[in-house]
Amino acid sequence: MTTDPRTPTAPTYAPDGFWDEMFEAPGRVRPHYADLARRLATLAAPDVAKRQRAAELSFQAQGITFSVNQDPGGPEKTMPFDLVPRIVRADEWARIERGLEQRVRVLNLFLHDIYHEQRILRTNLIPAELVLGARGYRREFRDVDVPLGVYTHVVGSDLVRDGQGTWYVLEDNLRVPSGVSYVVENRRVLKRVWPQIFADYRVRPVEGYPQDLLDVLRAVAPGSDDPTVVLLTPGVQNSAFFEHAFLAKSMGIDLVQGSDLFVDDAAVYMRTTRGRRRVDVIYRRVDDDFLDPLAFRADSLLGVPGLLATSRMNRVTLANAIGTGVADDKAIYAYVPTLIKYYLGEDELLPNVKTYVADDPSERAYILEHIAELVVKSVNESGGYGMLIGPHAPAADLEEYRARVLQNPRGYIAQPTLALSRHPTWSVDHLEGRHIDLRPFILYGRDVKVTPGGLTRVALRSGSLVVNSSQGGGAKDTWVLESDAC
Amino acid sequence: MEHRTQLAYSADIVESVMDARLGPRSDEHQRWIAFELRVEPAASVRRYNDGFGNAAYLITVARPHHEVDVVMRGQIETTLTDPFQPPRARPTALGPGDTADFLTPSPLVPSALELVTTAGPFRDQPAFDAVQSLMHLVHERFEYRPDVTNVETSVTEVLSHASGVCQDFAHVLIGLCRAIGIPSRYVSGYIVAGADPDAPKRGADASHAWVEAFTATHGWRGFDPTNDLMASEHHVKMAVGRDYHDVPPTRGTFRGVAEETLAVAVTARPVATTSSSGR
Repeated sequence: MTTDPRTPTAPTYAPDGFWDEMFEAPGRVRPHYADLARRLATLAAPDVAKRQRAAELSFQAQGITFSVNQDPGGPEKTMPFDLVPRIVRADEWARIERGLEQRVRVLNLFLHDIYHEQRILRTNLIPAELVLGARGYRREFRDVDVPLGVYTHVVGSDLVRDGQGTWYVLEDNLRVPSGVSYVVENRRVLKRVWPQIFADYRVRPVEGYPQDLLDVLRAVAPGSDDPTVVLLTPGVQNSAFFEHAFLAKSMGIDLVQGSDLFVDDAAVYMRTTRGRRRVDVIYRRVDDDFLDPLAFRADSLLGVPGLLATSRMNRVTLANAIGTGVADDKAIYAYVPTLIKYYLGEDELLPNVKTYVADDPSERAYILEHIAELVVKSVNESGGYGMLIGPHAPAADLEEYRARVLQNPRGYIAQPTLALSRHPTWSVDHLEGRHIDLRPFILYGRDVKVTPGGLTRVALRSGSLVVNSSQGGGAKDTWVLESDAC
Repeated sequence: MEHRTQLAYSADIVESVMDARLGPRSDEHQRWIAFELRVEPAASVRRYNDGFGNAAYLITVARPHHEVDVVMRGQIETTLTDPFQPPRARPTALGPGDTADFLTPSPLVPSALELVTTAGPFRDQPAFDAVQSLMHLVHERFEYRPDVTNVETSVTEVLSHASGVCQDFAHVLIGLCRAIGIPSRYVSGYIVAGADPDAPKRGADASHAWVEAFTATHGWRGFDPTNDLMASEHHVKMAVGRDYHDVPPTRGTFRGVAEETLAVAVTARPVATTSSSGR
């Protein structure tokens, strides 16, 4: 018996009419992928499988796991990692970077405005009810002057490419975006399993992220020259607990739970073995609802009583600030190009995906009529929950979403089903095209800084468009090149 | 005016954190001449403004203690002798923020079909008259009973009981006003009755609650459905919000294992009355 040492770049690989990140046509590799393709061609399938196992063991050894959010009893998983990296050209990244910076600056101007003068709501550019009626809008946080005017210190926006290779922003995550620990860890593991391949390219480092985050958090401290920064986690049951622990450790700051903190004399203190210690900045990974039982949900055991009042007095800084969820509401997302024009007088550098807001009667009619072609999303959900992919959905699901949209129009938007770009992805013993997206992380303190890279998420099921880790998605390392000279 | 809140605990506790909205809030119809807040045992008392423009206080006691005694003393001048008289200058329209706050459902005043059907017939009246009609209606249909509701009772439950206290009466009237597009908000405050035989009586020995509705003719004016009266110089405001949930006079937490008992005492008396012709 002979084994067939098929090479990963078998000529059977086909882009199938999608935008393929690596191949411009069957057998024709894009120039910036040429070195990678050459390396892959020399590898035998068993060798790739061996490295794949080594990578998985490495993630397990580090405890890099997540638990699936809506399945509390569910098992801890490691996020499936695909060894074939995604490569982004330097010039392409420069455009993405400028577009994200523009977007994050505008979203912060918008947040400041709607929590202060509300200038934009006196125009007819965006319906006031849409903004002020958003679930993420917190009246309790009106008229607070946050340090440096920054509400969103950490943003994770999701980018996709369509069949023509055009980049779009699919959504913004402005509350407690997660996934950056995978960016750093995927790189560490990939460098170890593919040392030669990594050495072929000049890839911009992502390892500086924790230090950059710490710099941002220190920059927004209220007053202190040597601020104490902590990371507030909901605890080990949280799906992203690994990331909380990872970031706290990497930044050299304390990882705390609500019960470790208390408010006295309009200041937040941390219990330590040597008594109380004043806390200046809280990088909180707890949602607004659970942050302060005196102000929000009274039954929350995850928060700190008096935190809202203390932050209103600017005696502690929360990152991200309270009430940022209004700006990543998916119905308000539809207006981001309008906001860019209004606040900066500019056109958007990164386009939005065409979005139909069900709250608008004519757009609602369009959604109901074309539901089988559209992706319908709940405005406040993330993680691939509360979502319908029309072309892949059975008739009963279409009917259910039609009813949901009719019953709660403010709760839904719809977008055309995008032919997301694909990337060669290792499947058992060869490469297959799988749909991907990209979540870059944007830090905002004194300046906006986009980490060069991000989490490329892969829909591992053939044909699937859902990349979320909670829905069977995996991840790839994302290489942003230093320059395109080669 | 004196408002005393006494919290007693069956065992020592630590880290009391209390958020208090006991005034002062001044506006065109009332002015706080004096205000003080005293807390026993020694406590930190820090003032801030909340998101509704109310003065709020964050009171903390970190050390072990078994009681917290908060006393507010204030002296207030009120000037609204004729609440039916429109203001001289036409009120400026509400901005989008206030409109959204006071026209859309809030945690304790969710939308309910019954509110819409009850208020519907009053939609065509001038708004100021409609609110008065609705106030009479609430006063007549609902029975004042202190034992059927609590501070977290929402308007839907109040409708089913058809009874409650001033807070519940206020929530129902707010819901009715909002149902026909009249912005309305919850007022937490006091009634100062004194010896005046015409003064409202209900709510005079405790903190009280009523409703402010905004109309194009009169601006914000107070409507007290518990007493079936327009708010006037007998009413003193502490704070306003969408509903009770935004403005409880005190709300707090502590750390420890103990039973908490709460006692509230309000005393208010008129100091002097200036004749209305003097102004």
